[in-house]
Amino acid sequence: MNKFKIPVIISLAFSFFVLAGCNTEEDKRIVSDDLDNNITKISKTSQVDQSLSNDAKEFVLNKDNVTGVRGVNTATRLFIAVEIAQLEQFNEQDIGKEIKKELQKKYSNKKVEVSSDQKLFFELDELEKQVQNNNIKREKLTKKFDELEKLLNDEA
Amino acid sequence: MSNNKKKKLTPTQQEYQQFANNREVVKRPLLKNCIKAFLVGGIICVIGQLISTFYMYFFKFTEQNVGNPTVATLIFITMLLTGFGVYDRLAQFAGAGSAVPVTGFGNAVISAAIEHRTEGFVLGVGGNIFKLAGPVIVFGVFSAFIVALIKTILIQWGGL
Repeated sequence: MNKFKIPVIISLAFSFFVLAGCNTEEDKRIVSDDLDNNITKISKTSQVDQSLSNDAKEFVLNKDNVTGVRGVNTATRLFIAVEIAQLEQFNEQDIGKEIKKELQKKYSNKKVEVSSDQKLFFELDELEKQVQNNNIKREKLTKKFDELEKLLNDEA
Repeated sequence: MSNNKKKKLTPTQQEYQQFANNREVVKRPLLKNCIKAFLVGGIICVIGQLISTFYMYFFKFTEQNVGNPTVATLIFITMLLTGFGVYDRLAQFAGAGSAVPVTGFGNAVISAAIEHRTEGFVLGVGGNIFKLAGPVIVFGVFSAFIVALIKTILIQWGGL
């Protein structure tokens, strides 16, 4: 039995490490190590200026019940995903709406979308990496924004 | 049992009552069972959370609709485990911990199908597959209807 088990475990572990090595995107963002203040910032070298979303992310993270934030902006739109503190997650949709209202007031010339959904958090995290590495063109970013908005309003 | 009813019992029944009262009652290890159920139920939920995170990360599911594929996957896994006879052992160990999550529902469906397989596919499997799960669905749908009705009334008239 043992003879059989050990090679299986080793091959499984090996394949895991190989697959984990196949990471899609190198992360060059400024990342905070604090788990309660999980924020990433995109440096100014990116094609689409991200100072607005960096600013908005800092504003959102200053709230007590927000533990993490990701966001990307284009010239006309701003997309923010928030991670809400564990016990506050019961009203995460209300908190998201409140943040959206505040951000819309702050950046009245932009179309603001805020989501507390984990899926949007994952997607924006990946998008941030692409924007940071200049791997995404302006038109593609707009297309991606449309896609995210569709995902956000998908009720099925 | 009240004295009035006791008098109506036949001698054999009275004898049995006497026997049942004198029998040594084994005390159930309540706390131990609760801990077992808590642990196993918790592990099943962790697996469910892993599956739903997997679906969110690799497919286009949001937190709103990731529940559907997660439940389907969990039930599918339970069906396989029930067929191989693994889930029964787990259920003997964990009790309610394995019956309360949605996996218990899958187990109830498949075990009934296996049990009545010999009676034929229509009257056996078809007639009995929802023997236990049927009431769960009926009460679930009915209580959802009642809750939706209350919510509608509150929103329409209560201005909630």
